[in-house]
Amino acid sequence: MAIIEIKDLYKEYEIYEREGGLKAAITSLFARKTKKVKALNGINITVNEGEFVGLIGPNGAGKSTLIKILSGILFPTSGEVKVNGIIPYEQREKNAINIGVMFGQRSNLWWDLPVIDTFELLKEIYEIPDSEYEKNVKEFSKLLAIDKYLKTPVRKLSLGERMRCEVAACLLHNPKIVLLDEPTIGLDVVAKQRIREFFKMINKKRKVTIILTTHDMGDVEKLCKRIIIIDKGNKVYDGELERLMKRFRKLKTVTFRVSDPNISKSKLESLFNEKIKNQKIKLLSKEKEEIKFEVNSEKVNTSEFVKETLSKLPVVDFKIDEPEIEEVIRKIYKKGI
Amino acid sequence: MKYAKLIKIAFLSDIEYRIYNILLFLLTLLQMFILVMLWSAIFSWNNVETIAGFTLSEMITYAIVAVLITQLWENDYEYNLEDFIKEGELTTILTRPIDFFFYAFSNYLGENLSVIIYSFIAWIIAIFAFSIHVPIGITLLLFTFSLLISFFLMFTISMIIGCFAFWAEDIHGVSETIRILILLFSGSFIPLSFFPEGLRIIANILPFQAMYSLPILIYLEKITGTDIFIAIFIQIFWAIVLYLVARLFLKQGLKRFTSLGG
Repeated sequence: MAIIEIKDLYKEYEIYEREGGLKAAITSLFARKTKKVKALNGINITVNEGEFVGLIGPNGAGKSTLIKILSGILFPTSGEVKVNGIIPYEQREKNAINIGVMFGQRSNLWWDLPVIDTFELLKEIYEIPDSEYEKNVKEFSKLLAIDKYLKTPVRKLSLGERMRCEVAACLLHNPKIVLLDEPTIGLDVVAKQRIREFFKMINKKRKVTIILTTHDMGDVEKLCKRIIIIDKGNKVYDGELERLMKRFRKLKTVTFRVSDPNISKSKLESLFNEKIKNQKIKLLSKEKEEIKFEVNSEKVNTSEFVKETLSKLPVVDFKIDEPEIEEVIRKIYKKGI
Repeated sequence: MKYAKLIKIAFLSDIEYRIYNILLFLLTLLQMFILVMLWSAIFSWNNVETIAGFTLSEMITYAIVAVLITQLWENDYEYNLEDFIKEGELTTILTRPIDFFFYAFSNYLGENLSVIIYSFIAWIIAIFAFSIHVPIGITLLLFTFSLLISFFLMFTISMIIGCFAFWAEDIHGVSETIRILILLFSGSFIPLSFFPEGLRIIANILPFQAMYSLPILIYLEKITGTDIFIAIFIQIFWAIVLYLVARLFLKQGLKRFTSLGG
């Protein structure tokens, strides 16, 4: 069942602009030039209950704008959005009960007070029943290992400790939908791991629908079955992460280490002339003893290519790599899909 | 109740800054002392019994109650609101099922609770040290009520000024302007009866006198009988008007905020 529906969503911002210098500064006192910036350019997304969706894209792609519209704190320019049947920006307070929002760069906690005080305030704000509140605090403290920090003032916690408390804070009221804007930003490996496992559990056991924006491909790889890539306000990919990877996985990188550092690039090109011409392989780089090829495994058998190279070059060592998710994403950001 | 809890949290947050509050308290005592000296000097220098209908003892009481009201209500809350808007805390608040006006009001109330206790102590000290006038019975009760309305008025004014942060880069200009108007026309500095006719008329049609002049005059029993109810009625009238204006400002501000993003 669809829990989030986004149809033809547009969002334009108006920003002031002026050139540098005194003259421009004075002119801008009287007449300000405005420029329209498109943050979202006709987005369509449907998310079903219980899905874990990764929303990725380069900086300024429109991810945060989308999260803010879903949380009801931003009005779209046009389009239709429904979150659990509610139009978030028209019924902000009603929508707020169903959602849990976490902005990784902002704090939900009361800076000067022990964490537990914020939890108790949230209990009142969301009118969480006693039994449910106690059950959640107990369970989350255990899973996130925060029980020993609950009585510490927030300002005395490390980033990792604080973030774990933030995560608990945004889930105390059992939201149906959780919106996470870069929840693991700036965290060390251990803290990241813990937070990821927690979200995974919440998604699986409680059937909470989660939308996550991140720049950390590790988050996406570990958590999201489905990813949505947006770039310059447009949706460029929406589907299984696995399918996207498959598309790029046919391109393998083969690196050879040779005993003779003086083999020239042109010599290599002539040696593999036919394959390069037919786009079966591509010479990526050649630095001293190290030579890198990209092999399209759909057009040429990788093992045959290796065999051929072994016979043509004085190879000492070699390795074959599949593209990492980071690399795939980088390629998409650069060239599109 | 969520707003009661918010008040408690703001109170707990505030008492983390104990030293600041104690210094503020000492400053209040010092200020009271200076004002007593000042008015005593003015009266003896001019060798008069009354100025604009105030005896020295009444004038001292007036000045001290005015200082207490000023200290009582932290009167630059608009900068806290500006921080909420500019630093992005508003974004987080808006993701919650809560009304921002009452959120801020609870926060303001909670942050002032400890000051109320200090001001009460300062008041007791003033009663003994400077033998200021103390109203009794129903007058004290009506004064307290009038003081609460004045408290609400201060908040609405801060809210209106704070809302400028939705449009302006900086609210110091607006804030300072309104603060000067308040200083002049509220009677927080000198009683409005000291003013020439023209200025007094202006003061009477502005809302600021409802913040200081009216409650202090009730305290001093310069306003008595049914006039007290008229004074309180004027205060309530301004409370409603300023509340509506603040609401309108907040509504428009949030509209802008939610179309621009935090």
